[in-house]
Amino acid sequence: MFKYLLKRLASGAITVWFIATATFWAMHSVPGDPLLNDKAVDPEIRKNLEESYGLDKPLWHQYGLFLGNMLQGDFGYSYTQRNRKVNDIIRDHFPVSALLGVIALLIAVSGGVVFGAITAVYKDRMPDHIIMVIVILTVSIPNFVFAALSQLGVLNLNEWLGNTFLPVAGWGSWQHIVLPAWVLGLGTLAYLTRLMRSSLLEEEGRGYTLTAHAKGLSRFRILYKHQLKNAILPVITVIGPTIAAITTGGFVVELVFSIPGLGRYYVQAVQQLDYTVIMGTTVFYGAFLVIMVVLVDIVYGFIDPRIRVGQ
Amino acid sequence: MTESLSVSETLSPELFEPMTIEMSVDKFEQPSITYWQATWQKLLRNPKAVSSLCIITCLVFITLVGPFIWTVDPAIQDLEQISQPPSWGRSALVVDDFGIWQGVPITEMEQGEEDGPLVLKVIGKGNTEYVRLTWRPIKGISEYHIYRNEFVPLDIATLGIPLAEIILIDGEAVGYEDRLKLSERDYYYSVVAIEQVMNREDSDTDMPIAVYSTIRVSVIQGVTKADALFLNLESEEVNGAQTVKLPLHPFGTDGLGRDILSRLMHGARTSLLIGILAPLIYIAMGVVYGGVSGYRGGRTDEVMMRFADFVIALPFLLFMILLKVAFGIGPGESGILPMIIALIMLGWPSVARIVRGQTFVIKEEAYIQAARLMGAKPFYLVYRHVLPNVLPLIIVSLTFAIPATIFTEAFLSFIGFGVVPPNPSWGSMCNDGLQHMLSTPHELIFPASVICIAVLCFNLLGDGLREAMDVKS
Amino acid sequence: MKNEIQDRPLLYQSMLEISDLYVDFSVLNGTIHALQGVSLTVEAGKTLAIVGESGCGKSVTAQAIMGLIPVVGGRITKGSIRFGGQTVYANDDTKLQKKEWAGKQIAMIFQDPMNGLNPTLTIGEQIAEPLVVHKGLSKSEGQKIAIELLDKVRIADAKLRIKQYPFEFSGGMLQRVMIAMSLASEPKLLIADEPTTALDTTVQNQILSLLAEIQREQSMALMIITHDLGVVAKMADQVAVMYGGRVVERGLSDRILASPGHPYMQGLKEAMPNLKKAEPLTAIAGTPPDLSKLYSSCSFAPRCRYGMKVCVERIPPLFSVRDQHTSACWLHHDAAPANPLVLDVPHD
Ligand SMILES: Nc1ncnc2c1ncn2[C@@H]1O[C@H](COP(=O)(O)OP(=O)(O)OP(=O)(O)O)[C@@H](O)[C@H]1O
Ligand SMILES: [Mg+2]
Repeated sequence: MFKYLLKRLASGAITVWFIATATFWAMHSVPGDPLLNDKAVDPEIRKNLEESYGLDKPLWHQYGLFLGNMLQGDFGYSYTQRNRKVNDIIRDHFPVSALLGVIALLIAVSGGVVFGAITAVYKDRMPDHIIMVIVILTVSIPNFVFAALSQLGVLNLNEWLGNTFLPVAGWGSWQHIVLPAWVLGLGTLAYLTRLMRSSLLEEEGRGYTLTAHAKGLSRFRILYKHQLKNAILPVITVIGPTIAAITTGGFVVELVFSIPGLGRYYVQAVQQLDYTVIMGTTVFYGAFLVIMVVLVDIVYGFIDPRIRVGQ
Repeated sequence: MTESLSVSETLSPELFEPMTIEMSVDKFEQPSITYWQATWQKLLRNPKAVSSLCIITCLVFITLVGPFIWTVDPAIQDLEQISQPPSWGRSALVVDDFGIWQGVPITEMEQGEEDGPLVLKVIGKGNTEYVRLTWRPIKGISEYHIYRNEFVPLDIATLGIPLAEIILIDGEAVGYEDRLKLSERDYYYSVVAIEQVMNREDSDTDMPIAVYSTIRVSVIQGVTKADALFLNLESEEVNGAQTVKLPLHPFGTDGLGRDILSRLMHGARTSLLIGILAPLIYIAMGVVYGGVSGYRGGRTDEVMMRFADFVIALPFLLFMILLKVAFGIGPGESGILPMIIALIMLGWPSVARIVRGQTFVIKEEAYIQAARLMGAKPFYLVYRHVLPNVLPLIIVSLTFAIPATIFTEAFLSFIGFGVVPPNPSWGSMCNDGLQHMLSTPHELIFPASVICIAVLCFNLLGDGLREAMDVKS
Repeated sequence: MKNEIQDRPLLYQSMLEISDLYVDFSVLNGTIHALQGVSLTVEAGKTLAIVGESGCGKSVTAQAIMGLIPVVGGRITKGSIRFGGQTVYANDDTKLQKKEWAGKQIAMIFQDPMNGLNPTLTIGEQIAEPLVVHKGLSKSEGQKIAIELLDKVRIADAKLRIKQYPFEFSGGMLQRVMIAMSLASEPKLLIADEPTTALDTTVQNQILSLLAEIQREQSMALMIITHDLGVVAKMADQVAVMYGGRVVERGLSDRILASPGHPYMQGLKEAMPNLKKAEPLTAIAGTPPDLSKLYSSCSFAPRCRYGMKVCVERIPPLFSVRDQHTSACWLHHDAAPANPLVLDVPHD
């Protein structure tokens, strides 16, 4: 178990390092000097930049500086926002994204498990058919379309009710979270429902399910006591990629719903070519996602007795 | 046994003679069919998969042939028809060219009561080029405010911000010409007569009593003579008015007046090109990589698979964005190439894993061992034996990779990192359409539905294929 | 033990009676008629062996008794199953079986112990589960009994073992665990579906003697499904021979083994020169019947060396060969020739 943990951590660290390096080289292979862009860079910002990145030094030196700064968690200054540190941007806006993402993830996982279980129990009967049609439609609709449609729907609902039932944009109260979190989680929910269904149906054919039936256990007990844990294991392995999907999905949702999350700032930074913010945020996101995947792997190890006990 | 007794009475002795050869042979023979024929037959029995296949075929066909039939340029802006909903041909009234309209001279107006209500009149027919209003001024009041609303104003407080404030100079004509972004719908024009407050003694207590009046104007499509001539529009006489047929936009136009049908077809080229090309390339790469890794085995395999695991762990979108920045492609430039490159660079490992696993299994089988001993080349073995075995898996992953890639393209184009104007793609069309979602939803609905339909069909087809080929996911 | 006295008369009549059972499975290209009129009986306290080649419907029969047919995706289309005074008919829902029989009065162990246990629950939890669920025992009481049961099936260190997971056990041990689990609810009938097929020979013998011993001790009925005539000779009081979804021969096992009445069983016996040595069934020439068709004739006829015209026209009923021995073959009909002509087999 310990060895497994160590191995996962080491490979995670390598991935983060690679992302940082790739980010650095990507930024430095931009044609032309990014600082000599036609956009006039504020002299104050320029001074800050030159200091912290050693722009007059050779490239490998800059790379060393960059890695050093990253290790200390210092991502430097923004390019377009005067005197704003990238760290500040992340600190101010990431919690917003994280809150939204966590709620979306909770919706997706709990919904996926519940609906997956329902479809598996009612296989080839009405509830299964209905849910699966909705699921296949849902996984075929891009989340920005969802975002727009749900906004439209709620706007009409608000109009019909004559008061603001739910706000369709902005941030600040729990009502603001409901719609975007739902939109953000929905695609993943559908995906997890499908996964959970096929995973449970696979358990249905396993010997131990038959044994459990032969013990005269109720369908419900077989489901929650025997099959669920086995069926959830493959679902847990995709939680890592799921977090990545929700994180990047957040870019769009934050954009559409005007939520001041990090994703929106990231997209803006890329559109405005704010190189330092791009670098900092990319590395931050990369590290975040890798850590999440490693965490999920470790959790998986704790849940699966075969790994926990150490086969 | 009671059973046997009852039967024995009816059985004749010749039944107990030995049977003949023909009798013993099972009468029906299963026709032998190949795996692919069986797969195809199973697929045909799945109505969802079959209809999906038909729709996909249609889509591809339209994509390839459509632009030759519907030859409208997707980038041309039809300024007469901006954000128009779908229609089968619309006509427009030919109206005067742009010029200054003075209004109707007071002398020419009919006599009315001096202090009566404001009577509004529309001169000519209200059209999208202009709406001309006139009214008989109230005596002693020379300031009038003009308002335009899209709904019936309830009272004077709901009129909003005036379009214009007009001060009449004695003896001149009265009128107002509205040329401000008119579209084809009903408007409510209101004219408010503003009494000069200072004329009154009791100005502190009484607010000025404003007299106003509202008229509904149904604005129809208009086109100026010059434009009609310039655009070479075919004109005809309807009810005494001269009209022209406007260019046809069966799916309507977007916010810049571009033809949505044409953009959908050209967008399909981009979206399907990326959606099909990228998966094809990375699946080929994955097959080669996985084949080599599985065939060599041992240390090589370990290193190669480590690398594949490493690539799988990379966050795809971040790399996409990095590549885009590295290519020096600013906002507003097309990012198709970096998109395809990123998809390929990050897509291959999952295929490689599958192929490697299969290669491992197949490598151990006796006939391969024999072939190896006889000196068959590894490449030949992979091509001849491994590939046919993994082909079902590959086909299924391709059918799922295509919609995933179409999604990614749409997503990237939507946040402005992918295909950008004037090149259409389904994703970028959604992005454009989002801005007018409330007023003209068709601009969003068409591209969004096309994405949904295409992705849905590929998904259903993939499901069908997986079932028919009996491939575990 | 009060029950035993009341049940006394049952000892001399069948406790389980299956009559004319038909089971269908819908598959991708049609229907498989897995059982085509199975009739058999199990007597209280006795051992019945079911033999027959692979795919003849032995496991499906067992599943039907346990009410598992809907679980494995099939349908009982005709017939009835009677157990302990209660009868389940075709098209009934199987709630009764689940409520009254499965895991309480009838227990079953499966062919493959490796997959028969839940990998994510401890052995102790799984053994005690029927007690906890059906008898309302507390968890710790359940664990205590689980330890006793593991001792009974001779697993050492039972105290430690109950906290372990299935992957920490060997195949033979898992089968012991399965047996312990099935004994937890003190069933009147234990169905063992090829309990030793997945195990190696020495372990096989240990498991079989364990089963025989437990059966004697608890005086329960045992229905053992096997490929192995050696096992039949060693363990069974009665035997039922299945072919193509039907029981073609049944009766006292020593009588049937000594002189089989059905050509199929004769073939099986001839293919196995030494009955005392445990050996699996060897194949008989020809192909097994195609169960996608519902036979209206003897399904063995194409492979039978005594094939007669009647065999391809009518289904043979069970004829009495002698006392406690019946056989579904037209040769036992009064009109059949005493010395039938021997044909070349297989005919195709
Ligand atoms: N769940 C199922 N779905 C479809 N067909 C089934 C199913 N279970 C059994 N069958 C079919 O029913 C027939 C009898 O199967 P069964 O498992 O009872 O055979 P068996 O006598 O137990 O064979 P073996 O000795 O190999 O265990 C087979 O032809 C099999 O294909
Ligand atoms: Mg079986």
